[in-house]
Amino acid sequence: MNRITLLSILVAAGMSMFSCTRLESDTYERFYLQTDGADLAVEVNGNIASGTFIILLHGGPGGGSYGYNSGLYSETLEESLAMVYLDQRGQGASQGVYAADDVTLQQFADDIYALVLLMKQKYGESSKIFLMGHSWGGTTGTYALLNTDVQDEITGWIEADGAHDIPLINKTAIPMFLEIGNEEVSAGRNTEQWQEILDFANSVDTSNISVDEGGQINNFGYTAEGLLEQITTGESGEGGFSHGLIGMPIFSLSTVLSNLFTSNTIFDETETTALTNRLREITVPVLLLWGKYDFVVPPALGESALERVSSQDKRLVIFETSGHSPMDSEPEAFSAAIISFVDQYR
Amino acid sequence: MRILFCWLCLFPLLLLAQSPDKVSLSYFGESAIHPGLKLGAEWTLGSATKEKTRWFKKRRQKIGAKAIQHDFLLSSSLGGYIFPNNHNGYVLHAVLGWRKTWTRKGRFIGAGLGAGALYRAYNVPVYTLETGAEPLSGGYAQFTPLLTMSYGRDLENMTGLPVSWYIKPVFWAGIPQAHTIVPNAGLELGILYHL
Repeated sequence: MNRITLLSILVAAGMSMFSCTRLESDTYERFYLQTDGADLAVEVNGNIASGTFIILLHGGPGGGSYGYNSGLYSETLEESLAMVYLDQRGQGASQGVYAADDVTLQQFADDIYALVLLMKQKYGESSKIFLMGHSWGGTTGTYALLNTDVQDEITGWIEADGAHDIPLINKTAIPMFLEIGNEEVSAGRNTEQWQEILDFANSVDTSNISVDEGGQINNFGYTAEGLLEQITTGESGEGGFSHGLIGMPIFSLSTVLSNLFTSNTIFDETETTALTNRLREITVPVLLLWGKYDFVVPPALGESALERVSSQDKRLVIFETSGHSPMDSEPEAFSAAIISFVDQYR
Repeated sequence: MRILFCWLCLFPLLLLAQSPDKVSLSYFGESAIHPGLKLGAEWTLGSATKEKTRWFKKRRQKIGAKAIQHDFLLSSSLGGYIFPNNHNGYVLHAVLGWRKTWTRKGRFIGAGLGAGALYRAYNVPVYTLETGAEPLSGGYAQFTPLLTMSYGRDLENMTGLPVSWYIKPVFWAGIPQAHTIVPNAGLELGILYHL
């Protein structure tokens, strides 16, 4: 290969990496919402003209929406409606300047309410807006439902493996470890790893679980899911992420560190948050989506939420071959359940 | 904060009363990959050269003594970068540094401590509840104490060209960002022209 050809290839490769800021279109918008000192990064993808929006609240804390913005489930949903990917305060591409005292679940809830109000201003008061919280997004979403007036503005609440009660998570994960762990050991599958989990589970006093033990329960939850053959890997979508490498709005050391600092700041409040006793205050239509083998946020939380919410329309869907992320394990069934729920209210 | 920014802006102008020794043009990439450019100038505040006798006589006779030059520098630069779908950054840096040059082949290493200002101007629309569906522009300013390291080569001795090239990782703290101070990093690849 001569030098000119090599140089041409290098220049073309370099130019292809440099995706510009993506332009707004009928199916894409990206903006910041300034509220209470924070600049919240929001990306709207999909069928904006449908007038139906699902605001996705990501997991964490210290996560971001970017990992949710791809895959078969999001492609399917975005054909039917518009997905709104919010980076919650201090996470993802969100930034701005505010005090440490502003990093509270109440503030996260206020941010969610502010976004719902902005969506109505921007896309019309007749827009149908649903909130969907996954994992820690279930914490902040449930907190918003109970501590702001957001229920007056939204059409429904979708909770996917949502962590609205950390003490209850810890308490219900232990019997799940014991039940499934003993089955796996009896079957001779990954016995050494499961025995470590079983030994830990047997050592925990479920009437008095410490914060450290809670952290260990969370770690073992992910470990346990990794050991189970019953959890499937779903089909991936056709497209990748909505931006190239250079255009990825979160590719920065400062993003990674901001995520970490925010996670550390909100950790203590998250660990002690228990909203089960107030779930009866939820009256909007509710769809609960749970992986059967979710050790991180056990299905017992979904079952308890189904009993307690006061909604007239409430349903729980258990995904039989999923753990903590059914949108990845069973994307077709996951998106079908959401579309079936949302379509009733269009 | 505003007074500090004013001084950072004025300080290089004060130095212009004395002509710089070198000027620079560099690629400046936030997180290395978010592309930008910087223009700069450098003043040598002090310089010292140490000579060491080479061990082998024939080598000594062929190329002379080993000379290592230590320079103490003040540099100032202005530039910007684009972080697509996030913000455009405008930077002003002032750095006190040190450079050690092996004069025969011109290779050098260096380090510096300095201060800077960064304005993050969002390159997507901004909305507030007060202004509703009317898009605005937005951003915020940071004070950025910084640390630099460099490696490069002065080509003047070997080739007669009055230029050096360098590669320079830059680390800074964004004050304030979110609810705290958030570190960040960038990469500079540049050319120094010797005046």
